[in-house]
Amino acid sequence: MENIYKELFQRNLISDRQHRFLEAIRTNQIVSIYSELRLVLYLGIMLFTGGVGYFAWQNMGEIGHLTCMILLAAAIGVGFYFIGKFAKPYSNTQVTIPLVYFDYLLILVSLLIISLFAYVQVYFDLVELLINWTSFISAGILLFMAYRYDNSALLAMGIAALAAAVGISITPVDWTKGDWQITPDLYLTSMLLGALLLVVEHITYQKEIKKHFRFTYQNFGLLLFYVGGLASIFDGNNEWLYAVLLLVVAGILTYYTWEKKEFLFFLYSNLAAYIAFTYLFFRMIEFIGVDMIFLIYYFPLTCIGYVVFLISKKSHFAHD
Amino acid sequence: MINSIIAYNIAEVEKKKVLSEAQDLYKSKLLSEEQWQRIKKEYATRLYTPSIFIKVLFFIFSLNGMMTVIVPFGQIFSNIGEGGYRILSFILGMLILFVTEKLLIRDKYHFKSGVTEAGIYSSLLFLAFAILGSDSSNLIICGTVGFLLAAFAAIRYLNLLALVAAIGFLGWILFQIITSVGGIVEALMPFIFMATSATLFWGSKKLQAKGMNVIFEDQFVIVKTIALLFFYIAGNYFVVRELSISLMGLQLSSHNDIPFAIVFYLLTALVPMGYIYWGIKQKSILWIRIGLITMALSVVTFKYYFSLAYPMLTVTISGAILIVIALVFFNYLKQIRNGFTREILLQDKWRSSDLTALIASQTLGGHQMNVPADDEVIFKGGSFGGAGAGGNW
Repeated sequence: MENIYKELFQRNLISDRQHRFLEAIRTNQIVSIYSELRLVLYLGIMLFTGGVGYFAWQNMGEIGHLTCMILLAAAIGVGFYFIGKFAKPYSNTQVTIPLVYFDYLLILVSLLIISLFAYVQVYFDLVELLINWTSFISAGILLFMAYRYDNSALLAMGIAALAAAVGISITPVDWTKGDWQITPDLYLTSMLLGALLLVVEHITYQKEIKKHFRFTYQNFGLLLFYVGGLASIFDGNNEWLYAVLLLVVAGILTYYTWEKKEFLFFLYSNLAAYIAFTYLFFRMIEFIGVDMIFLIYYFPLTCIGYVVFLISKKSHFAHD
Repeated sequence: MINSIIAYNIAEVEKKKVLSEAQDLYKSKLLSEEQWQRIKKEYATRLYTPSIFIKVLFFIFSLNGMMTVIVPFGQIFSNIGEGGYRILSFILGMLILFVTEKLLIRDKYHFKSGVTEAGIYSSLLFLAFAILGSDSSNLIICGTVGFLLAAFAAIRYLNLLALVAAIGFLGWILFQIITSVGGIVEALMPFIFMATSATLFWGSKKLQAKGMNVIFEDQFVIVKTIALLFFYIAGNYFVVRELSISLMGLQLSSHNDIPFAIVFYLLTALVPMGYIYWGIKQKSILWIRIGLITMALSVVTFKYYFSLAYPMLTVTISGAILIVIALVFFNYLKQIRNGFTREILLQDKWRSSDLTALIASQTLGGHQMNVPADDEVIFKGGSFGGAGAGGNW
């Protein structure tokens, strides 16, 4: 088969009009640069706000502070003018805005507000006064914007700022080299914050407030909980306790996410539960005093066994 | 013939391809519910591919299980020496490959299910160890074995990662040959690589023009992408300069530059522009995308050697320029112009607002300057230094 659209057309599965439209796309008569434009805009915002924020911190003495703040405030004002022009009133359900780059405008303005806030803080010598609150205030700004204008990217940024406020840098990408202090408290904080996010998600979902924010809450909640739990197993004091707690919670959630077919969270829960289980199993073997040599069979047997079990249930995750 | 080379049943893979294409169309609201149901029925396939996360789960657990199989076996035959281990590794590799192909692919109709990938990778790793052993000082032989195994997986199991690896190994072999010959050939290395990339690109284009099966579509995209990127990298000033220094022991002071420096400056500047120009002219999104990527690389390259004094100012201004460019195009392309549009034509599976949100939270920050560890350093210094509004902490 060399051409899918032709085949579908010949078998009378699509109409002539559809066929011509799809052929135009296939042969590059119409090309969409939707993603490319968005990527360029996104990069631009990342560089610009990063630059502005850093610039403000670096050049306090050299350029006029008031000028800088006024410029930032003016930019924010202009941004809000456009936001106000296109935004719709708040609603508990998903709000769609016809303007294609509305999301990016929101992100840009929110980040500029935070830059201005940082600037004001230093200029009026509020740094020491506010040191424990800056991240909370940033988180507050981001979360307000996220809910008011219905934007899940801002929600995710707000949650990350909240985590930073309680001392955790959320980077699923490289959390090992992040800012985990060597205090077991932090792991517990991470787990508690994770649990809190899951509770908030549950309540707002029940009350039908922004139901489409669910994924973001769950994703961060579970990651914070599991990563905090796993880190405390390998790095904390009451490893036994954490391992049991993690195994129980991850076990229950494995079952729950399996039932609900939420496969990303099923994946997280599986990995967390497996690591916790493995840890407890090894410690138990050590405790009982059985010959450790038998452990060489543990990984091949459990992993292959589990995969075989999952494959036997494959109709459960048949592709929709 | 093609059916005996490829482990999967071609007709079934074609059906799978049609189904996934039709699903994208249905999600883009280009097909009616009724049409989608009909296509689903007509192209029902027995091939089994789970959703992406289950695939990842399968892959992690299977790979872990299969790779650790060697430990108990090694324990049983503990005194066999390296030769013995190589034979053991060979047997295990063949065994896993056989199980993957016979049991999973033939009998259970697994198609890129995560388990199959784990089986292919782990068996090839075992085989590579069996062939090369632990003493693998000859880099050309290593590259050749790697290439052959990767090419095998790329063709027989339609594995895309193996395809990338195979091309990588090919480049590696070429590189080793050139450096071992040395002399004038080594000096011409950038041009040899550029010629090779160009050949690879035009070759695959010719092959595709002959009318290839749709199931190889992704393969062609990958080969072309790598060829275009390699062509650029081979002529990039930074790459040529640093490789000349480290490979040929070129001594550079601040007064002299690499030989033919001007050629490489020009290539670094012009190749991305050429890509973008050609992409716009031919309306090829592939050329445009790679043009944008290489353009960014060129900017970084030039910034590296001709740095202006204010890096943060440059970042801010280039950010502003990018924002303006994007907005101008968003407005300009409200209507379709020259065949370009700003609207989504086809929805694909990688486009998700949840994913965008996650990426945004990881890259944009908004909280970054308040990360506790950094704060402590900054603010402690500040308070001791008596920093006020104009303080330099």
